[in-house]
Amino acid sequence: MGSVTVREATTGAVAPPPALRHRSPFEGHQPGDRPARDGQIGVRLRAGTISSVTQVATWSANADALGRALGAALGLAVPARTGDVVHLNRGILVRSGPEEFMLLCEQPADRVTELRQTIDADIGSVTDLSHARCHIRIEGDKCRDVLSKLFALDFREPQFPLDQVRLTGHHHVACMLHRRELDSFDIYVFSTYAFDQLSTLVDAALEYGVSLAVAHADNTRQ
Amino acid sequence: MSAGMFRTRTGGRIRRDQPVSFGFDGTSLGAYTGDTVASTLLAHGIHLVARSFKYHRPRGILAAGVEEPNALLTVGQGDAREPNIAATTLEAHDGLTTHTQNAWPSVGFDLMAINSLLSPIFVAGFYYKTFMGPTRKAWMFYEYFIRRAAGLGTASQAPDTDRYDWQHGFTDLLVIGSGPAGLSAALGAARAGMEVTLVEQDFELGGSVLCQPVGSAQDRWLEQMLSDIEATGKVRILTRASAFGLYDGNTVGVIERTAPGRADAKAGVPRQRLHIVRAASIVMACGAIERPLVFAGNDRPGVMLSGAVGTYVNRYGVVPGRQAMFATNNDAAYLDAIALAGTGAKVLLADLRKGTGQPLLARARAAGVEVQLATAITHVQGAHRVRGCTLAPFDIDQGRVIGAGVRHTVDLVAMSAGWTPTLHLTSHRGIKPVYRAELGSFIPGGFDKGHFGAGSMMGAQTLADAIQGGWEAAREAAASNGKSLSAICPLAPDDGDTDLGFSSVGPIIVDKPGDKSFVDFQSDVSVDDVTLAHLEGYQSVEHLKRYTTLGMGTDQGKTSNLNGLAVMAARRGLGIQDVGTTTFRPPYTPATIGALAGRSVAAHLQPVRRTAMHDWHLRHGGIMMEAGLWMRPLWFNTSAATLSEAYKAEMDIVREQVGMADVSTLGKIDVQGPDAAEFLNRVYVNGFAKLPVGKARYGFMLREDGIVMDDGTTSRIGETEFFMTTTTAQAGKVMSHLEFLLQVVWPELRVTVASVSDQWAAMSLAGPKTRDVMRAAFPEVDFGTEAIPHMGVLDVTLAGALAGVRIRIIRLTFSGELAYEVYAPTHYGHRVWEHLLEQGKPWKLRPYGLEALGSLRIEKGHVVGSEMDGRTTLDDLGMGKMASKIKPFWGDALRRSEHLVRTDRPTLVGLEATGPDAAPSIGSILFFADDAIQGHGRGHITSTTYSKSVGKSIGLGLLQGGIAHVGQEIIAASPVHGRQYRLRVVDPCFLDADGERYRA
Repeated sequence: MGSVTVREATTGAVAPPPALRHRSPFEGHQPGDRPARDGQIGVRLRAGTISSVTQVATWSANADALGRALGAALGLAVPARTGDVVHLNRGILVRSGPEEFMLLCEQPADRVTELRQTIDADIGSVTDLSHARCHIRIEGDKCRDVLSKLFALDFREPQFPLDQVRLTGHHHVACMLHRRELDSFDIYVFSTYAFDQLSTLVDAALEYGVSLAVAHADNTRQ
Repeated sequence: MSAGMFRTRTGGRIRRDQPVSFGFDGTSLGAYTGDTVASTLLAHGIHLVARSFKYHRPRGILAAGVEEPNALLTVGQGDAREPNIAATTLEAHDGLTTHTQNAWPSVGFDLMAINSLLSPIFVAGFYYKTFMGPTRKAWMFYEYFIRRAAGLGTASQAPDTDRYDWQHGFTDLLVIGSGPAGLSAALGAARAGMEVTLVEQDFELGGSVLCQPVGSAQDRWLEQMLSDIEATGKVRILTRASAFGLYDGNTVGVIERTAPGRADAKAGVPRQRLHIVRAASIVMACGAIERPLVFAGNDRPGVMLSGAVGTYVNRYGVVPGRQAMFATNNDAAYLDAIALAGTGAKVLLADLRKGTGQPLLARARAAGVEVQLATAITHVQGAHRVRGCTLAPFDIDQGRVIGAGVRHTVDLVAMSAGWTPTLHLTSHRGIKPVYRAELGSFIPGGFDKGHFGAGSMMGAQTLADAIQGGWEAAREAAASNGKSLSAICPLAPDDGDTDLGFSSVGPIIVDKPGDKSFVDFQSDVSVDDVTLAHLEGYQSVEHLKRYTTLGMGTDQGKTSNLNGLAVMAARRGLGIQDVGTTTFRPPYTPATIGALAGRSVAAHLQPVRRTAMHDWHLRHGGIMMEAGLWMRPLWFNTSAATLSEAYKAEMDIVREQVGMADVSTLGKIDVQGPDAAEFLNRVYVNGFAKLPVGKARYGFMLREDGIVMDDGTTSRIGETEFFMTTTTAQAGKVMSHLEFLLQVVWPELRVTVASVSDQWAAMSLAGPKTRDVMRAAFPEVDFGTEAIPHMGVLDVTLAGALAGVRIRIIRLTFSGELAYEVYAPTHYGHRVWEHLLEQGKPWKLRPYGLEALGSLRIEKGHVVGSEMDGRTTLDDLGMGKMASKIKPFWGDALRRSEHLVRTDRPTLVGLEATGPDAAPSIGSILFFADDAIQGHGRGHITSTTYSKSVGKSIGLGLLQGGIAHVGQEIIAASPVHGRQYRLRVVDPCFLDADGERYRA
């Protein structure tokens, strides 16, 4: 780009990973247990930010080319169908649409620069969404009961198999669900709705007893 | 505490080892777990429990289920009360308080019963005909008194403190009803490998079997079925759950009531839960409801449905009367009479028919029941309680009484005119019922795909038929799901039982009734009312319903519908099948608003969207307001004590020093691709194809119809990458618009769009000292005009305290001052905001809120949603010159349409008060000085504020002729406030028209 960047104007080298603490949108939530009347904890919630989220997309005629380029960049076969998930080292690659993938990683990295090495503008777009999404994990034998309060999804396993994602929403706010285990789901939410959506989940889980853990900040974000 | 004098010594499904008590009109009544309030009242000999809707006639308990039209009580008290709850469905439990309703001072002595004396004139349509004048508004006067005199209970006006919830459910098969057919279907489907959800509105499973004696063959069959079903592990059971509506896509609304004493709002346990069940298949086994006979005084306390009497005896161990008369046209009542006789009661049975099967007659007589064939009940004596009844010879072929009546002393009249299949759910789907003459009933006229019916709902006459029907329905459902089921169904209990007796002879006509014969108990509709409706030409059943209110109310005509049709058919000389039925609509049983709302109330009414600086605003005096789903600071109480002072102080900061606003709510869209520039060139009215990298451009986009959709700034980050901003309000709409254009209109363009609204926190610094603050905050960046000119864009990876954080700086202005927008990754937004405030201290940098932001832009004449209101064009807003004449763009064709280029369209003007005190309000209608102040005027005010810079109130408006009227005095009239102001038309830009300030 023609605008001046510090990186280009000064050293020309990529800046070292920052040590700055970021602020989680979940700050303000009180972690801890809220047992049900019978003392049970039916649901465990863990909320936090995500180190790296990258959206890779293209236009309809280019889906195959993008799949090949992305596969080459990551050294794997990309998910074949919308909703499919492929695991990477400390991350997952989700096919979030016919021409769209989401790369979610636990380790911070400049994925945009990395992926742009093989995915040029003619093949598709690469967009950093690391700050645009947050993550809520819900587990426990009552987690499907809680999720059923919010999402009009069929959580029976044949209809929602393990390691699949569903793009859905509640209250007309979009989010993405990834089924990790029978009773364990990762919910990817928009950052500006994250605080409210965690409130909604806690409220929905109250009757079953809920344990909440919140990762307020980390030092690994880029 | 006694559980009532009218109890059997043993028997029933009540838990005699678990006594409970509850309040009824201030008296504590003993009961057992498993009792309803109705069974308890009867056990205590309390029959008078209500007053009727219109006539305030004494009313008792008619039924034993959801069809109860009379015994409606108010539950709870004070603000926590809930009216119109059927005593027959209300479980007795400790802590419950109930009150009678619609009577003053009491149901025993109700002064409003004078209505009953006036009943000859209070016929159907009385109000419509009587309260028509003298003026058209007179009804408003009468209505107040009429509503006080008639009605049911009164709801609390206070907020509901209970908790309600929603849950989505998916299942292979939903079985509605747990009677013999429903249980059979559930077991069959489960054995076929289907996942089954079984819903039952009662608090116990079993349906009609619950009315049979404990220990009977049917009871043992029920026990075995429940055990077998449990053993499958594939049936989810919801009791206290009413399937109230059947909707598109095999979706069923089910409201589940929490068991007594379980609801706890603080612990998150709802009082009711709405299940939205989506089922691959549905088996409806909804049963049938017994019909009353229609005779004089059939509404008196102590007149009950026959099946209800049997239920109270067998299920609740209650003896509703010691000297009873059963009036029937079918066999089912015999069993009820036998059950009551078994308690030691004296029982007489009058059968309208000439005879029935000898075994049943013999069984009845052996039980001590005196049976009179070809006999009708014609009249009931008693007011607050049945004291006697009159029986007369009856010819079923002629359908009328043929001899003199004989009076009998009784304290209970049980009646049965056959059974009406519960076909409400199929009616919800618009399926017309069909009449089956041999049953004397309507049954469902068909089913949607994947829906099946079974049991008495389908006209099954015997228990064996019901069980077989349920099994067959399960087989069909299984087949439609690709599964199979054996044809061998569970055996029916062999107890020599009789059929349910669907046959009906319709209402009994009595020459001199001496009292009203009611068709609809809850709506106080009598045979005379239906007759009157017929005479006045309301012959369609739909008209009949609306004229008489037949079938309305909380019971929705469950007991009255067919009798009403029968009377109308008789009056018209037609068969019932020829007059048809009305349409049943949801809900089948009353649904609370709370259950429909679920947890979407109070703090969870709608999602709340927070910027990264939200908590900072709260901690620093931000007074927040809702802006769509966003929460935004309207003003800061650190600026001044009141809004009117604070926003002016915050404007001063911007005009004189430097202020900072949280603008994270702006929509932000990442546009990438080889054709991104071409795409934007088509979307915006002005050119974007040649926008240089590192520069931003302000643009408008139109709707297809030529109306302005939104404005915003788009920056070119790279040759193939753009960063678009939209207004807060239109962010979602613009994103959808762009996706639509790419997918549908220009699929050939190689472009992707992605919302990055959540990726970036944004803050706008504005004021003459802004550059100083930016230099102090980001010393590594050159903020010289050459390095970052007006509309320049810079991506920066920061050093120092914010090392490694990548921000985006765009030099553009909304306020008219030198200004920069700083975009920081959301999770660092808070840090960057605080960093700027800290570094800006030497220049007194302070935050400003939405009110100041809006006022600053009015001074500059910038338009927002108030002006881009979905009706204005580019030319209306004075922006017509921005539109390119050399390239096509979306909306260009229709923006030239005749009605959009008329010269008398209101266009943007500035407005200023002519006097120092005038503060015109938004929405005021604009008139020329010599216009009559009426009608739509010549435009309206869109935005107003007080401008310290101008020294008076100013505003923007849309005025016919627009700036051609600059200098002219006009009138702004506010009909809402009843005020008028004199304003002067001026140029919309009140400040720094040459742009010297922001170009500094």
